[in-house]
Amino acid sequence: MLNPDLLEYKVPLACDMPDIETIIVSSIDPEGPFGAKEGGLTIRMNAYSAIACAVANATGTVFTELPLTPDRVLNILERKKGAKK
Amino acid sequence: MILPRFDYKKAEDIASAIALYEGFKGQARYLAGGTDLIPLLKLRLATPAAIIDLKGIEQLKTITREGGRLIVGAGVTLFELKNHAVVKEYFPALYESLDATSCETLQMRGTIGGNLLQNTRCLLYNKSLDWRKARGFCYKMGGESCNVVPKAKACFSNYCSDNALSLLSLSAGVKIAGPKGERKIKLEKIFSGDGKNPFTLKPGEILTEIHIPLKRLRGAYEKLRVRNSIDYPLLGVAVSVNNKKGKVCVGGIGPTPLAYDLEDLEGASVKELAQKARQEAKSVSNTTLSPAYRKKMVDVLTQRAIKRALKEGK
Repeated sequence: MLNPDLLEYKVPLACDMPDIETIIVSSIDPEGPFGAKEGGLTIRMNAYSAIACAVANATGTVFTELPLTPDRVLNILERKKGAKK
Repeated sequence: MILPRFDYKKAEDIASAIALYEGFKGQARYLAGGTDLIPLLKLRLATPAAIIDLKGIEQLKTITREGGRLIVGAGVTLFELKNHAVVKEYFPALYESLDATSCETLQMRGTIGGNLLQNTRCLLYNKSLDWRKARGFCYKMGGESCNVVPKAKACFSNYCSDNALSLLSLSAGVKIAGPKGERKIKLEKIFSGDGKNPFTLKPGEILTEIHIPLKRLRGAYEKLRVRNSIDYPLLGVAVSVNNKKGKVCVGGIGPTPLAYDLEDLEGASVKELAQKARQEAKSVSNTTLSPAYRKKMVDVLTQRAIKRALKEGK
């Protein structure tokens, strides 16, 4: 195991959090119990898919690994540049 | 993890600390802030018979101006130094590197002397005894060869002090007290270049003072890391410049920081220096980022730091 401790397994800290905007959607979900809406996983899963799609759109390359750290993005961009030449 | 058993002694002054050290026949370690030493003890990477606490020595906690230099006691905390008026006004590179060191809570505990003399780090070295036993001891732990670079009889661990880089760019010197008396050397002379034993200090010696020439300089510190606090540098670049030339220092890659003189401030020589620094940086896969990326970033961060240093104060 390469990350048996929290020093090298880099968990984001308070200062790494982006600004969060809350939007209250006051409607009823017909599938949920008593009209309750699910608000956890859907948002998390869709948020990073949306960002990955946006980066893929902007660069014209499909990414296969998350998270999109600067070194991964640079690596893929450089590979793409090399392929064009 | 539980600490191993050791004797604890608190020294009143430097002479008595050295006397205590000699009493334990080399089986002792000095404790300043402890932010580096205590984790090493817990991981059983250091197993001294005794710990000699230097925190009670008042002489190490002073900052004075004398003869055109700022004399900083080695026991001054990073936080206190960061908030010293002279540091902010005269040495922006040092201010930025102090600010980039870990987080404020740890800055209040860690000392500048301890920060300079922190042990080098490696992904396969700073691990528990059980982990290391399972993997097999590396060269730095006394094993046959390096665990990162197979068969290499050398250590490629990284020296991760942010502040050593900025102090080197400020041409700082250090005063060392030991069993054989005091000596003053340039800061770059404390590094041995060997990852296994990264410092040239002899057993029993204490780093007592850091001398920084009191000149108002422009500067910047750039640090590569994967999150914005409590992270060791995966690469650090400190730059200090006056109106004509400057000094650039690259660290966090390999056991010794590398210093370069910037002869003039033209764009061409900045680029040339960044290229040279990139070529000389030896990165191996012993941190969380790939060696190729870190090497590439030497060039980028060097140029970025110089650009920012020149922009500031204009």
